[in-house]
Amino acid sequence: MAEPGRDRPAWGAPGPAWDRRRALGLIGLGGAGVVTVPAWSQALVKLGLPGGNDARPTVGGYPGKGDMILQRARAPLLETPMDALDGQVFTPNDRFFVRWHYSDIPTSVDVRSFGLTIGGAVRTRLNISLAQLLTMPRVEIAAINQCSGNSRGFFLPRVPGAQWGNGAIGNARWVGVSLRHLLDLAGVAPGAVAVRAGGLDRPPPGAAPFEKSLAIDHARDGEVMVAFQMNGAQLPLLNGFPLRLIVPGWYSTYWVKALDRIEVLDAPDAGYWMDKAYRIPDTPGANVVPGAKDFPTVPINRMVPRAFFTNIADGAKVVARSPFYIRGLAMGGTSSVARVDLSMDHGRSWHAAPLGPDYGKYAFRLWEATVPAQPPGQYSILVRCTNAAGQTQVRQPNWNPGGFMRNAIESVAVTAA
Amino acid sequence: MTGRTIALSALALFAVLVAAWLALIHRVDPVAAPPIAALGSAVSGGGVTLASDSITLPDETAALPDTPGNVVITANCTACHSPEMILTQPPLGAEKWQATIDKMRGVYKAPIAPASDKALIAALTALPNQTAAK
Repeated sequence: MAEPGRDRPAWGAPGPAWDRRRALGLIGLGGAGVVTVPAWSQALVKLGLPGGNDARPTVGGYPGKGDMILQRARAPLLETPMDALDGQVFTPNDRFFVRWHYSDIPTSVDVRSFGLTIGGAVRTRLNISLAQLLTMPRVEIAAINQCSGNSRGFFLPRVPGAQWGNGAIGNARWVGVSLRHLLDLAGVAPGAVAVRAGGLDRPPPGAAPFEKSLAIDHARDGEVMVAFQMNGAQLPLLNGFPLRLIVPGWYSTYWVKALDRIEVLDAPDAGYWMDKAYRIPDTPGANVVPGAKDFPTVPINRMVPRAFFTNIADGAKVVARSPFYIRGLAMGGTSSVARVDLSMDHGRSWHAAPLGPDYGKYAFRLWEATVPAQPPGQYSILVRCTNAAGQTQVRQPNWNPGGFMRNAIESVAVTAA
Repeated sequence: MTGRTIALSALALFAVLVAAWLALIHRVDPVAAPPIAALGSAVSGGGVTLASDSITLPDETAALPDTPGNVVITANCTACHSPEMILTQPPLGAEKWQATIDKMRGVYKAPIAPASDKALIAALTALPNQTAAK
């Protein structure tokens, strides 16, 4: 184990005698309990960010979207409310978070005229229609899509950028064609080093188009894919219809939306979005001392383990001397969730939480537990994920000026009364 | 019948007529359908159908506090992004706001005149979210 702490027997999974609805009723959902509101109405949700200024409207009315936390209208930043992640491994398309960089985003796509070009250092430049793409061999993968800056709002000291809570994340079943298949159709030229992807969004005049690159071997690993389906349906326009690059295990910045061009490069990508933006300190956990500058950086890359509470919010109230049911989601990053542990003594001892079905190493895994009855008092519950490669979470949050890659152990304060 | 009922009925009738008319012209002359995201335009293969899509984003609702000092923010910032991006920031201080302005001007080519920087930073650091809980 990477952290000290005795392993104790697992807390029981909720048995048939335990009334789950009653348990949920006992738990004060507080600010996380977002009620359904009409499209024209607004409710406020508090994200619990340090220092306040954390109330955001929950809005309906975005095309293809149900209630979402409005972080920014233009270019849209819509956060998934925790209730939409609760109790399900796959995040519904209409609750999946939305993040665009530039305000000129595609709002209309004609499937008959759309084409995906594959060019650059290739034998044959291709323009592949959607109809052609649908005839090609398919791959399917369940994978988490998480913004590099998910949870940035919890950084201390605070850092500029989109002030996300924990909801810039979702998990879906993606169906499409492997990028390797498409690259092989075009024929990658000798000496190729990277593959750059771009989409239909447009930068302001003179600014760099939003483009991201993967090393050639990564692009050809057979897992990176061009998806045309998300949870069995075409993608919402706000999530990248008609095509999105899926990069399992890697942060969302590489998952280029409305993907319409792929370019094979024979030199490293020197574009702004690889060379200057989305870079992390080249240190373990992307961690530097707050305020540090001029440290070596690398492009953000693989995700790391995380576990979230989804049915209980910080500050919840439960009934004393009565067991209560908690659950959430865990992710392993680039290897599967090996275990999820809970602690109620600030990490001195840990209890394994029962896990739900395994949908593959890149997907969410549900964890749940019935916490034994507690006398009246204040408690702190910690949840920690460890993946099959032995990577785990620590209590001390990382810090970097970009607000990237947060994965500190999550905790909720609970009052039993 | 109340006026409201009459108005709703008229609206419903109008919607039915519009739908019927659209269906009719689509049947008679498909070429006349809108060229982008034509109604019903789709491609299929291997059991999957992808249909053209078109969306309209909702109106923006957030606004900067209505003060004379904020005119400079509207003039320089909100052409490219809505005000929430500014209003949700934690207190950043003049130095980080200057860095943000430099980035907007240098990277995103925002047409911010350097002569505006001083007034802009004064306005940004005076916003309620910047002065509270420092």
